[in-house]
Amino acid sequence: MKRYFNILLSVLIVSSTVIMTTACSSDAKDGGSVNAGNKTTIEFLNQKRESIDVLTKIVDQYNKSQDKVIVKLNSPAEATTVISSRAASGDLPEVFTDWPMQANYGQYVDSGLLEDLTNEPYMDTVNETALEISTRPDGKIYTAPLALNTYGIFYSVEDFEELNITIPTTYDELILVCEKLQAAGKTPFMFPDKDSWTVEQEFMFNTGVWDKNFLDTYRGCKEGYITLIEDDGIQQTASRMLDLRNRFGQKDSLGTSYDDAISNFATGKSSMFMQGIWALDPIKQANPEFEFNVFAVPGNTADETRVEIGVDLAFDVSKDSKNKEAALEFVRYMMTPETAKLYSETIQVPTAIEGGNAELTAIAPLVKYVEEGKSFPQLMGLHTTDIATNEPAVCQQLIVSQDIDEFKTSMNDLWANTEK
Amino acid sequence: MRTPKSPNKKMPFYIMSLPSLIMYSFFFGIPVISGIYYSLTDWDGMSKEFNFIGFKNYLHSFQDDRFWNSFLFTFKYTIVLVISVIVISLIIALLLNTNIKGKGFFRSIYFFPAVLSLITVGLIFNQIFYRVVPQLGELLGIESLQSNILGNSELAIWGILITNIWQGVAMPAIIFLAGLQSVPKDLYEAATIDGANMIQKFQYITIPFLIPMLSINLVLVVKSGLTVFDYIVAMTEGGPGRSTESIAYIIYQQGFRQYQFSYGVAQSIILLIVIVMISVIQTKLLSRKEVGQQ
Repeated sequence: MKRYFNILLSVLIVSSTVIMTTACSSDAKDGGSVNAGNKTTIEFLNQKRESIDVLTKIVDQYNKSQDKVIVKLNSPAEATTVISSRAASGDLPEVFTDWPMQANYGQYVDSGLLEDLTNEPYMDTVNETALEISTRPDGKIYTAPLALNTYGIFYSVEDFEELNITIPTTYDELILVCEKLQAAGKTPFMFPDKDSWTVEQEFMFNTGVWDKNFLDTYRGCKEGYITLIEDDGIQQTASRMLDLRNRFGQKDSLGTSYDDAISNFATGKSSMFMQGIWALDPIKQANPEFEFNVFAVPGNTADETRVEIGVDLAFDVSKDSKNKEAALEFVRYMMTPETAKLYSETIQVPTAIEGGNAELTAIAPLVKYVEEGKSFPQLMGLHTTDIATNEPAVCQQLIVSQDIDEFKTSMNDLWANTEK
Repeated sequence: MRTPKSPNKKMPFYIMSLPSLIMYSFFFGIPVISGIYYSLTDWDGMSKEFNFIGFKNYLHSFQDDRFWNSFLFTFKYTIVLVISVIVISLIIALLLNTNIKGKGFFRSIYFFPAVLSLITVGLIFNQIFYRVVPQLGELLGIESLQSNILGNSELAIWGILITNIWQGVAMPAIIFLAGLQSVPKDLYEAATIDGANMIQKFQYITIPFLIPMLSINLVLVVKSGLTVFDYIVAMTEGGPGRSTESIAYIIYQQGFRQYQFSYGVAQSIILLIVIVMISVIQTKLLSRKEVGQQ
């Protein structure tokens, strides 16, 4: 009897293990194309968790509008890692979202994974800077850029009204604003320097505002004929970054993280906060009653002011997909002004499509610059994987050591010696 | 002469251990072997093609400043962690072994940190160091505590250590407690009759029974020190600069974020060899001193 019991127990254990392992593996093969009856199914993998709702809406609309193709939206966690592993196993989804300014996009292109979209009809309607960002060194475009993000200085409406402050249009005016705020006992700026990516962004984006030729400079450094050590642009940006912190920033910026800075600004601990428009929602959530607005980082003169643009949402099509035409059709549907407007309305960001912007009151001052063509791409577009991983630490080190010469040397080493 | 077939009495045991064996091979054995294979290539983790490059990844690691920096950090960290955790958890175990009121309650309380996720604890301490400690620093007038120590490249390691120690003493304390409870009470009585004082009792009775537990705890704490990762992700991301990058952290960064998969794997193999060597040496040293071994 005991022996039978032992055997039964062993069988139960083994079979439950087998069931567990098959259950685990069947989850993985959710995507991929299937010909269900007469309809083709394609997978659309989304990396932006904030956009799940609006993308679901768009996909439903598309599925209802025609009956040849069913699009399945898939928004996994750790999506970037999922894409990398699926690329490695040759099982990329037909369409997936991407960020062309990031090094991953270049990786995918160089690994031969993406379809060339240069001659797609909608490219004529796409914002110049967005196209610039999406174009690879070989002159071709491998992604369809839809949504944009940009950067500015958020400010407390109450603080500005209380002191009768007008929006500064030049850097010198910005300094005067800071001095006025400080004299009234307020902290002008909140810097989240604990998170090195924010310091790197501030460096990249403000360099673009204050140094018109920055892209040529960094390109030249990569190619070996320009040295950053003698560059005025980097000297100016670095010294301004230190100046703003030392004179007008909060104490212990290196101990303040991005999340801390958001909640601090939203609860009135500083009057201004320089950040991308992605901070809009978090600030609202941190303090729904907080009244704030945004203005563009002022240039050296009022005319020079332009805003940084990044592509916040773009679509890649897998080159080896079995249903490429269906995938391309779907992307064409998404790259229309109507769809763009829906996305713009819901997420409250500007889009790269002509006529594809909704009424974006919260960031209207910045959208104005985008629509007038007064924009520039992120320096990130010139990044190799090397630079992308090391630059944040180098920028943060500037704040730690306060040593501009060390900073210039490190940046020069990084850009001049990059491998790829 | 052929014996009649008799049922193999050990069959149920083999079958019962089969699931574990399968899972162990599948989730540990095979990945380690394939990891060793990949460490000899230049695969970046994503491309369809890669080349066999022999030991180049290992050679490159030994010349890499970032690797040595993380090695130094990890060893410094581990040494301080081990000493602190072993000493503190032993003290806690001794206290929990006494006959105080609410013994069971206190044992649950002190064990509680062990069931929390490392990331959660890291995130909470992250906030404590940002919001609470600076205020304490102002109150006590200690300047170095008045800003977030995690933002200071010299002090950040201590922030992570304190968090790790707070959570890390729970399990070893319980393990030591189990060891303390395994000591036969009559040995203490006999010692008292022979005129031994507290210190002598501790040295000659308690410690020999604790050696196996000490061995287990050392292996556990050394391993957790050498592979410290979760707290770094939750609190400093290796910063400020590179001042809190551990080996595990750079392996992860290189392998999954910087498209240097094979390089990261090579370094993890180096780490594996180091951990195995340390564990073997330490287990051998201590097993000679175990009760019943002399």
